[in-house]
Amino acid sequence: MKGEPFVILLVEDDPAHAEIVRRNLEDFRVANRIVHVGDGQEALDYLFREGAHQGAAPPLPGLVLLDLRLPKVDGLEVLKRIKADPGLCRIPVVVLTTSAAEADMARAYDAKANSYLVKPVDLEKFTGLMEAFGFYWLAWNRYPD
Amino acid sequence: MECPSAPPGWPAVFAARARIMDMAEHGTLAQVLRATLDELEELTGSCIGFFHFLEADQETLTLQAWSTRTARDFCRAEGQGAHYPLGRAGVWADAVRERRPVIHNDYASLPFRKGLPEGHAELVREMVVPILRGERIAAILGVGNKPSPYEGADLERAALLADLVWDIAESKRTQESLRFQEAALECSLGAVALADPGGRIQYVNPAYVALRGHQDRFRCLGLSLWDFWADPETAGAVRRQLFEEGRAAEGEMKALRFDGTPFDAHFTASVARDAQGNLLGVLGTFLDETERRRIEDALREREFFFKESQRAAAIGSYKTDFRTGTWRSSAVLDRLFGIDESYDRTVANWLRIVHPEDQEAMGAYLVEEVIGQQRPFAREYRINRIDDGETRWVNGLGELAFDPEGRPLSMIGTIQDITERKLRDEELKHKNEEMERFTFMISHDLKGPLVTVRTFLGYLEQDLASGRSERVAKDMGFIREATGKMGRLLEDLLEVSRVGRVVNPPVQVTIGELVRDAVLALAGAISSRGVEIRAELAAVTLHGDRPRLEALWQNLLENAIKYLGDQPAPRVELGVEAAPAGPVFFVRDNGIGIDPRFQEKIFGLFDQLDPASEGTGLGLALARRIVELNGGRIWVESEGPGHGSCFRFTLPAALRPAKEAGHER
Repeated sequence: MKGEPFVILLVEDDPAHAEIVRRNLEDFRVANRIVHVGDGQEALDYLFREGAHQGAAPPLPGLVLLDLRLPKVDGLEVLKRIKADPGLCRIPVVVLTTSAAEADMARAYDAKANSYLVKPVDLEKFTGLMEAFGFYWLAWNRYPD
Repeated sequence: MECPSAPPGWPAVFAARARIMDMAEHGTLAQVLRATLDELEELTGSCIGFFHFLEADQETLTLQAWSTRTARDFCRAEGQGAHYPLGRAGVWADAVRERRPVIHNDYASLPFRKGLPEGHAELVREMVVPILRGERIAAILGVGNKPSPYEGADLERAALLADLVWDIAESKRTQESLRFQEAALECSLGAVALADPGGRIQYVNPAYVALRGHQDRFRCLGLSLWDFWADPETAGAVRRQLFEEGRAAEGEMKALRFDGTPFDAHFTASVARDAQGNLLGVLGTFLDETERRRIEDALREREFFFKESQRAAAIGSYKTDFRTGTWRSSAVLDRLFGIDESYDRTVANWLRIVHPEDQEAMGAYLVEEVIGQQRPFAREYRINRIDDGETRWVNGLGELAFDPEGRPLSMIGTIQDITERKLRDEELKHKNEEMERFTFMISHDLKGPLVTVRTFLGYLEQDLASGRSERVAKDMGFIREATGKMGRLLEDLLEVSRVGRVVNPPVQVTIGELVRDAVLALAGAISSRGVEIRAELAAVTLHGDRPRLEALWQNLLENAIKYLGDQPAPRVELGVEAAPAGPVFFVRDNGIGIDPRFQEKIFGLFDQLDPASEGTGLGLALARRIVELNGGRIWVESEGPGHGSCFRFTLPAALRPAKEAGHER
């Protein structure tokens, strides 16, 4: 976290959900360092500097907040690509999804997700979750250089 | 060799006769003959003894016996029972040719002595006596190699024994032949009865006793043979034929068991006469037809059930002969393979029936696993029926037989058509996958808007409480958007469920009609976007749920129009192409195309490549569902963005008349 700004890559196709995440992380002063992409392909392009991001050198994220159900390329596929890449595999990936299905959870952890969070159907709970998330991942958690 | 030197006197001859008669009491013919030769050797001081029957043709000599000593010390020639034509026999057979006893005291010097059989004792001298019965010579008795010349006394001794031994031999021969005949009658499975000319039974065999239902055979004796016939008139007719017309009779009869039970039998009846033509009696043979018919019926029935069950279960059977490399097949298997008698049933031609994609694997399986490792054949594989080329799933089973060196001899087995089961399995698999997709969809797509609504309602409360009115409109916008999306999802969900649930009775419809209706339904979009529609349709008739088939074409056409992009000359082609496995339908556009990476994902329920595009991502999922309900497959071909797309699909179940489309529901 030293020197380079800490960027959160938010992969979320639903603009409303992206808005909720952004509002909740405002208190942690990282809101302006959230990079939001709307589908799996865009996420991969950003991470691997391909497609629209070809040749660019945007800062690699310190953390990925990943939805599972995504257009073009599934969240699970994005997760696998990250974990299979030696340059990216240490980046913690926190799955944030509406699905509480056992199968989704199992598949995500099998693909080496670092955490699995289910979007609560209630503002208070959502806010509580994001607060806990912020404290844990943005304050307490230590990252390798 | 040590031979007795002095011939014993006459008492010795009578003692020898007594011993021979004694032996005749219990011994076999062969034993009596051998004993006689041994005695004569002893009496004449000979070292060799032999006995030949002369058959009735007076031309063939049958060697019946050697003396013990001859067999042991001298003669390794052909054994007992060997026949020689008289002409080939040596001078020892002169006794036959000259019809009198002969003595050759200097055998070696005789001209024309001809050969003796290979390995025969070396003859120094011999004496041969013919045994005459009337005009006929019945046998010859000979001895040889006496140290001193044979003389008259030797001949007399030989004659005394020869007459005796012939009487014994003849009665023994008759006795043995009778014993043999009786044993044959006793063991015969056919019932036999012998009656005197008056019809009173004199002999019955055990089979007759059993057939007639008696306790024991003695109760049968003396009864009338004709009582066996249930109908006295038929019995009378048989009698007349035998005695008046002099012809043997044969036929079916109603027979009576002893207790009066009637049954069906087959009989023969003939008269027996002696050499002079005097009537000796009547011979009747009987076979139980009931039992034979019952067995025949049972066999026929079993075969019928076997064939029927094979037919009903579509199980064919085969036998492969690996030495000739050919196989035989049952009628059911022929139908299953779609072959007739003219098909060359070789192993290679079996492989030709196997689906091209399975041929290599099945060939390797047969050679390496089944034959190589001597395992039973057990595989499910696809075939292409020879007559109509239709692809069918079969389950092949087979047991092999191997020779001691491990080479395969034959394989016997069955082949069952399991296409319907496979289709059901396949369908079940699809259903499970769909169920999974559905669960996934519910937990993501339907829950997503709910999260939005509830969360932004919370924000609205905060906004109102804290007076941040500038956020109210924005938050309400999110809520409106989410509830709208939820409504569309629910409607589409109902539509998907309806496609699977609602069944319209199958009708016949041409693809021309389906395409015309799809174009009409989308006429507004087509004209406003200026799309050129090309439909070149072969006359293919489909059988199925018409509204569903219409929805399929309509969804694909709608999808094509939706993703035409900014194509200045938009065009959509609809058509059908012939392919080996059946017609392939297509909808081709020159629109934005699809990245090959996403070509599978687009058929997922509510999957959209572009979240910004209108709709929910239902159309292609619905199309796939309809195609799968018809046992088909749908896929998209596109060289990538900007190159247009071509959606292709098959509808195998809709190509068959409705009653065969068993998995359609």
